[in-house]
Order: sequence, then C-alpha cells, then structure tokens
Amino acid sequence: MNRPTITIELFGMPRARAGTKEVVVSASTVGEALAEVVKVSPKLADVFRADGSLSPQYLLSLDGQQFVSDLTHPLRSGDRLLLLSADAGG
Amino acid sequence: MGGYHGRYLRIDLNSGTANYVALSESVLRRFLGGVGLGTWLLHHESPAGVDPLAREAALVFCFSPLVGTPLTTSAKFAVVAKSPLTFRLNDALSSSHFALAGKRSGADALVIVGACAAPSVLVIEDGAVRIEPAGELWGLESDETTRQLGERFGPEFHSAVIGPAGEHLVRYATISHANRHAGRGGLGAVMGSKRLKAVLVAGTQRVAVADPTRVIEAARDLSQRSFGPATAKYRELGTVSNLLTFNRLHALPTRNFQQGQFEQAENLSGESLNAARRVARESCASCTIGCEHIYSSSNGNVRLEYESLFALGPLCGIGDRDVVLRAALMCDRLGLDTISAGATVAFAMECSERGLLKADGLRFGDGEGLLSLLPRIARREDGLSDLLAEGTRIAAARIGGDAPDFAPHVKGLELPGYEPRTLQTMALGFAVGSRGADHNRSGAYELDFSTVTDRLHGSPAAAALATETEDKAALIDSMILCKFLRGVFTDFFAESADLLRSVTGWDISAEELRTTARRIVTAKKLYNVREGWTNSEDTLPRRFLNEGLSTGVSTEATLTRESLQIMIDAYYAARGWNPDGQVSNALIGELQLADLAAENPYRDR
Ligand code: SF4
Repeated sequence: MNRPTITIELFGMPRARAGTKEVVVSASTVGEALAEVVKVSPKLADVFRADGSLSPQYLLSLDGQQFVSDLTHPLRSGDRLLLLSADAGG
Repeated sequence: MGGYHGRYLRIDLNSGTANYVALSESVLRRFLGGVGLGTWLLHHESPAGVDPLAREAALVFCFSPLVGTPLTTSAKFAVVAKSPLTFRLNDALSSSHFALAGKRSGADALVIVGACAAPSVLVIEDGAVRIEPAGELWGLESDETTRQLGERFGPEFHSAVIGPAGEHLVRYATISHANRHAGRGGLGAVMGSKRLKAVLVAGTQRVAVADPTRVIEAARDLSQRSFGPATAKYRELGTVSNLLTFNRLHALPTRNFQQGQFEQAENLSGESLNAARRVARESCASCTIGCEHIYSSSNGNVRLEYESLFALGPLCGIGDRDVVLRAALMCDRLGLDTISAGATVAFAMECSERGLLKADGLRFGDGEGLLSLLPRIARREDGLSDLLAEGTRIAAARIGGDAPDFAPHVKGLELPGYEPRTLQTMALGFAVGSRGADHNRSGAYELDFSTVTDRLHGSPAAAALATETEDKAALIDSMILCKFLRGVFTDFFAESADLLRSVTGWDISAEELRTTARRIVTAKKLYNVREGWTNSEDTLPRRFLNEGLSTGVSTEATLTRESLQIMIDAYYAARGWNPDGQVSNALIGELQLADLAAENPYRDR
C-alpha cells in the first residue's frame, strides 16, 4: 500500500541545519516522516533521542493546529508537519 | 554568608550625600537579589502613592549573589522603580560590565532618591560618591554619551546612561549600558526626572563565595552545557528566527494586532536577515552563549532581537529590512523601548487611517513616517510626538472615540510580539502580569508551544501551569542568570539551590526556592496593591476579546471576556490569592511578607 504524501515544513534551527524550507516525504506516522527527513538531511539526526523519542530541542506541529510528540501519531495524505526549534519564544 | 556585601548604598541626589544601609541575612535569603531584592527595596524606599517622576521616587539598581562569580551569564543587574508608564512596579534587566563593576563598587544595590539641580552624572567608586555636572552631555544620544564618558573617566568605569528620550521623560525611555537596555516601563524617564544622564561605577571590592571549589566546578559544568543544543538557536540564529515560526502559527502581531500573519514576513525573516545583513555575533561579559547577532543597516550596525523586529516591522506593516534595522538603531541611540515605540507608532497608524488622529497621513507600511516620528517622539518635538511619547494608554484616552479599544497595552505597558488570541495561555500571562503585558516575567508562551495545552483555546489548567513559568522567571531574575540558559537545566529549582548553596553557604533547598519565587511574585503584587491595583486591571484591550482573526487556524481562536476570566480565576487560585486577586493575610504570613504588607489596604473579609 502506498504511504501518504506528507510535507514537512522546517523553521528555525531545523531549517538552518537542513538548508531547505520543506521536504516532501511518504510516511504513515510522524516518526516515519521524521526518519525520512533525516535521510534527506542527516544533520537533523539528533531529532531522535537514543530511545527513539523526539528530542526536547524540537517541536512538532500538525499543520500549525496541534503540537504532537507521539511519533506513532498517524498521518494522512496532504498533512503538513511543522518541525520547529523547541525554544520558540524569546 | 558568601556572595553579598550585606548592604546597599543609598544616594540622595538632593543633598549629594550617600550612606550604606545594612541588608540583613533574612532579607537577602528571602529575596536573593535582582528583581527580588529590588522589589523589597522599592517597597521600603519609594513612598506610597509617589509620582514615578517626582524627586522622592526611588530608582534601584540591584545586583545579585552570582554577579562576579565565574558562572556563565551571571553578569546581570536589575533596575527597579515605579513605572511612569504603568504606575505599577517595573523591573527590567540588563547585562555585562556595569553589573560586575557595580557590585565591586561595594554594595549589593544602589538606591537613588532625590534629584539633581542640573544635568549631572553620578560617579560611584569603591563606595565613594560624587556628582559631577554633565551639561555638555545633555542632549546626546546614548552611544555618544557612553563614548564621551569612556574618554572622560577611563576604562575602569562602566556607565548606565539615558538618551534624549529619558531626558524628555518619554514614558517608555530606556536605561542603556554598552547598548544593552533595561528596556521596558520607562526607567529612563525616572532617571531623566532626576536629571541624571549617567551612573558610573568602578571598584575593587570583591565578594568571597562560600565554596570556591564547588563554584568553579559548577561554572565549568554550566559553561559546558551552555554549548549544547538547548542554546543552539540563540547562538546560531538569534531570536529573530522566531518571526517565521510565529507567522506560520498565526501568532505574529501585524498592523497593530489586526492580523496574525504578515505577507512580507519572508523578507524580514531571521533567515533572510542572517544571510543578507549579519555582520557579527557578540556576547555580554561572562557569557559563553553569545546570542547577540549584529546586522548592518545603511546607518550603521545594530543588534536586533525578535521583539524589535516584530514591533518596528509587521506591527507597523513595514516589510523593508533596512527601514526596520534603521528604526531599531534609532531607538537604541535615542533610548526608546523598541516594543513600546513600535506599538505606539502602529497604534497611531491605525488611528490615522481611521480618521481619529491628524498625523500627516500616517499609514501602515509608512517606513519614512516611522523614521521621522521616532526622533521627534524622543524629544517631544511637536504636538503629535508629544502625545505619542505618553504611550498608547494615555494617548488613546486623549484621542478618544474607540481608540482605547485597540490601544495595545495591559496596565499601560505595550504588548510584546505574541498574538494573544492564538497564544491563549500567554494572553493570561499578559493580563495578570505585575508590570503589564510582558513576556519576560511570564513564560506562559512555553505552554502554548507544547503538547500540554491547546494554544487556540485557553483553559484553567493551562492558567494554573502558567504560575510555574512565572515562578521560574522570578527565581532566575533574582539569582540572576540569563533566561536563554534555562533550557540547559533538567531540574531548575534543585540546580539553582545547588548554585546558591555553593555561593552563599546557605543550606538552601529546591523547596525553599519554590517558596522564594512565590514570595517574590506576591511581593510585586503587594507593591501594586499598595499603589492602587484592583482586579479590573487584569484584563486585555477589547480588541482581543471582541475581534477574531481571519486567517487559517486563527479563525478558530476566539478569546472572550468570559474565557479570559475563567483563566484569571484559575490563576489567582493557583497563586493562593483570593478570588478578587488580593493577597490574604494568611498568605502574607505564610510567605513571610509581613514587613511589606504593613500598608496593604486589603483586609480579609
Ligand atoms: S545569552 Fe545573550 S543576553 Fe544572555 S548573557 Fe549571553 S549574550 Fe547576554
């Protein structure tokens, strides 16, 4: 079965590290999407902690609507995932 | 007791005299330093009901137990006074060599009362005080003043100065040291009302710490951690990188808070600024992070933070990078708070567009209008600039009509760059802040940027959690360390207790520090109560409660008077305050605040 097409928008440190604004990947879950991003931009490998969870210096938002940290969260085709620096404020 | 001189220096400008006043260990342990000790001093040294610009008003420069230690980011000082903008307690922080030299001058704080007969500078050298005439400096911009003082007094002296805005009592004038500003709430006007162009400090009186070996170990460890991922954003990009994130989240205040997104955000983004305009990175003294990113403008180089960028850019509808950079540089030199200056001009732009204010056709996006207004405001050159020098609250009241509904302030302090309707825990933080709409004393936005709360729908649970962010800010601002270090701590209160134990020798615990933080927040509240605070002040301008936003997810984000009140009620309860926000005598006793509550007009009902 084809996996959904997801756009990952990068902001702050993730954008600086990856050198691009967005990456389009195929993924069924948030964790899969991040793993695909890391393949494209290995400098973002620290998005995962050793135990496979999301590193505390990153934040993920589903289409700017809802922050998510559960990497098993399912994705649908057309979803946009925002990867941000965790210290988003001043 | 390590880390302290155990006294403050009280300077009376009326008589030109000074004397040391002892600070007991009990006071220091209860209030630590920085904004905590500054709050205690203001309670004692500023008469109840004083006009903030009267000669009797006190201006407090407060150091801390950590200043002078090798702990990274500890070279900080607080300035505390009754604000001429809010008429409530105002505390602002600044950094670097003034803190180090000020503490070495022999006191834990400087309390300045009275006023000089003519423009002067106050010189404090190892506790010896003199007041020198400074007529030739009056009228100069902050950076030129600093340069001339450097030539006149030599490199061992460090200065805190005001620019023309402070001299002209602009209600949002700053005090600057080496171009770093104690920015919010008009402290520069308080200094200007005393006809003080500058305070200079120098000295050789170092303070011992209780456990030097442990302090060095802790300093090494903290420095090491400060190089890690938790501070990478500040080092590599600076806070300007917030702009695009906030824009994407519909949280970037635009055109006087009429929108949450700016169509020219890419042009002003930190990313594009860093690529096109960044020329250097600097840091405060004793800092291993170095978050200060310097950009070039056609008028010279300028340090730029997100708050200046949002206020002088999107908030005014301006997308021209060079205009924003020049405006920020102007504010620095004139001694204007960039947030209040940008917000006041943005407010004037809306009033002008609505026909409420005659302002030479001023409109959103009018970069030349902004650049023309800032120096006129700083010197109150004409009727319009004189009005805007008063800040949005007073200006709106004078303009009349529905202007007060969209004047972007809480308690008189203009809002920083966080849209309250799409960051609703921050909305609560703004409403209840002791110094008004403020992002430095409440980190409630951290909850909005998390999975813990729904930023588009505030809740009582989020409001209760917001107290924790205020408590952390109260502690970090009193020890003092830089907030940009906060991400490196895994257990902030416990690690802070460890630092304070090794510096002071006190057997202090995380639990005690939690109480200390609550005490400091409530002490500020008691000051405001003394000065006339009622819960009617804990609110937001009508715009945020009556008007929605019109783009993307922001259309779902409705904030109403009722939903805000539910959060405020939860916040008061979490603080242990009464339902009307007043502080009960029982809590005053529990927090050991009786010495500050003698004039508390509230009585338990
Ligand atoms: S992180 Fe930035 S503001 Fe904080 S002490 Fe260092 S240079 Fe100064």
